[in-house]
Amino acid sequence: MGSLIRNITRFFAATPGRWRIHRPWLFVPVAVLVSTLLGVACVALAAAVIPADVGVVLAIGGLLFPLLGGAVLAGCMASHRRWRAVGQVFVASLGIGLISGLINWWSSL
Amino acid sequence: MSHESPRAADPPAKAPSFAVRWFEAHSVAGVTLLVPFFVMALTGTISLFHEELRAWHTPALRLAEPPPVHAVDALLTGPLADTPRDAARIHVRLPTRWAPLITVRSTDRDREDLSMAAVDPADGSTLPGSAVSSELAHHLFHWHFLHPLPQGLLLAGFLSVLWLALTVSGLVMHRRKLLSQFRGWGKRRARALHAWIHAAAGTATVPFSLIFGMTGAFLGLSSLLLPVIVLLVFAGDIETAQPALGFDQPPPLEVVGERVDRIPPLDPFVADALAQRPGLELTRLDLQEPFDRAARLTVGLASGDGENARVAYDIHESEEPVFVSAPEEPLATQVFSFGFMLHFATFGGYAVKVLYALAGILFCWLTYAGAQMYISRKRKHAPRTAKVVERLFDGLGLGLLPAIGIFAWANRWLPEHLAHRGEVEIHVFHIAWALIGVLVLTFGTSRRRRAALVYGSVALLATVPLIDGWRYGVWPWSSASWVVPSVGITSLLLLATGLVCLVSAIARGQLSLPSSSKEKLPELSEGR
Repeated sequence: MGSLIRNITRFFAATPGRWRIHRPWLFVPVAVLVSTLLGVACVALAAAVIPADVGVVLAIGGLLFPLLGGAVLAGCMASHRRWRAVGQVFVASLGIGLISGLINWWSSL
Repeated sequence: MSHESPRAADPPAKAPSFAVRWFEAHSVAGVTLLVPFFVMALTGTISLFHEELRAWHTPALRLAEPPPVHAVDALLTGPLADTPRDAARIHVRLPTRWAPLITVRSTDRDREDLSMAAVDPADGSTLPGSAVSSELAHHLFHWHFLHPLPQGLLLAGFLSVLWLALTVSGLVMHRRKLLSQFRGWGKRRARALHAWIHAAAGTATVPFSLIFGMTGAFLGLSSLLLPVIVLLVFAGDIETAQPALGFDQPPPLEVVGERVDRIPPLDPFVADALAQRPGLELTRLDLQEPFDRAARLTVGLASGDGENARVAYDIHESEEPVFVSAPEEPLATQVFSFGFMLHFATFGGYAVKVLYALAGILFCWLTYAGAQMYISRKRKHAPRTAKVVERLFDGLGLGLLPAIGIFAWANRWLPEHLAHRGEVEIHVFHIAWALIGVLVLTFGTSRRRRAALVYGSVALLATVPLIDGWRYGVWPWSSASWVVPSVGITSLLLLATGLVCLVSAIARGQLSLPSSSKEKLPELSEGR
């Protein structure tokens, strides 16, 4: 088990001594997906908080979520610990999605 | 015996500086985006004018501006009578300023074309469908959002998010020299020149990057957003969501299986639809199951300022409409329209379109400069990566330029009466592009080969107005070219670009024979 964890850690880790984006073919698509997920989660939050008109949700969330996703993606890629940053963004997306669902459920009671 | 891994021999990790990290992030994101972004920027720049280019690449459309059409039966008698009886759908497109013909297209249940005809609304004469089937610019418009690729629209949306990340990281890197970098622009050479072009073009186009990136991601990823909104705002009720989102549809059509021989007169329905929405003009007619008792006609109407409406009739049952779209578009649809308008410059007239086109050209240029920077940086330490990136960019990115030239040549040289001429043109374009890509990937590239790709494309495109003059008597300066002004303007622009390139090549001595061919030979055969 220990060697498995060590191998997984080694797979995602950067080469010691030379900072660079390790395995970019894997990191870039994952980071793009996760940052888009964060943007979609924020739109979900907007949809839960502003139930007045779907057009308002689309206008505010829809047009701004790519900018949020892009900024977060740039931040993840330039982070000192990139995989950890991507993991944090993923957890934050799930958290925001969960909060949106709870608000929506609570408002429907 | 212990085996020491190479990792253990590496020097201890050093914390990279802020600038290094952002530079690496920008570099890796940029190289991922390189080829698709160049394709999207180039095809997007051309497709800003895709409506205007219809007349240029379709000689049959060079007609006078059409009168508004309020009655269709007299014009459509022939094409509707010739429609195959197994047609599942008939699409009638009414004339516009840039496509002044009525086109009648029938398709089967698999949406395969069965017949195509065109009618001149001025005199009612019928033209062969193959004369209007070419859609060169429209096909490039499809390539702008990578539609020909599987899940292309979604991919284009993800690439737009990556583009925004590049914009953000570029701004962070150049935050202290955003204005000062525009000084001393004539003093740089080679890699420094590419770096300057990349940074200056990137800075100058930041507002456009934000507009294109945001609206592009919004339009491309809307298929991810809409289910979330339907789930949260409408509690998953798709029936309630459709009208609010502007996707309301007529009730589903149920085929009864009872065949009819002919389509009844359509003018009463058209007149009723025009009365339902006064102030709008007729734009299209859509007949579903035209030879079934359940046949349905949907009349499309629009106004000059973008207002749209649809009215549907069950034409064998009643003259009363079965569906009338809402008088006002819901806000959600207006948001989509706003995103589309911002992305494709359908506001503010030609000044805005030209501005967008200039930004598009700068995007192509900055992508090229970025590719050259990455390649020259990697050539020392990772020559294999540099070679692959260079060949990929030159083959599939720059290779698109001559492929467009070949597309235009196929458009002019394929026989006008060839069945499915438009499809054949598209096949020629794809084959040419793939072939150029494979050749460059196999045999390598060099500065000279890159120049050959660019100059070859200019030569191919600049000769098209001459072919028009020779074959159809439509010279760029003759009045026939200016019936639809975009034809004359496009032809003159292409001719002028060709002449400028020719004069510039002569002035720089690139067209003169080498004085000592022995010295030049190794350079000519150089392939990276």
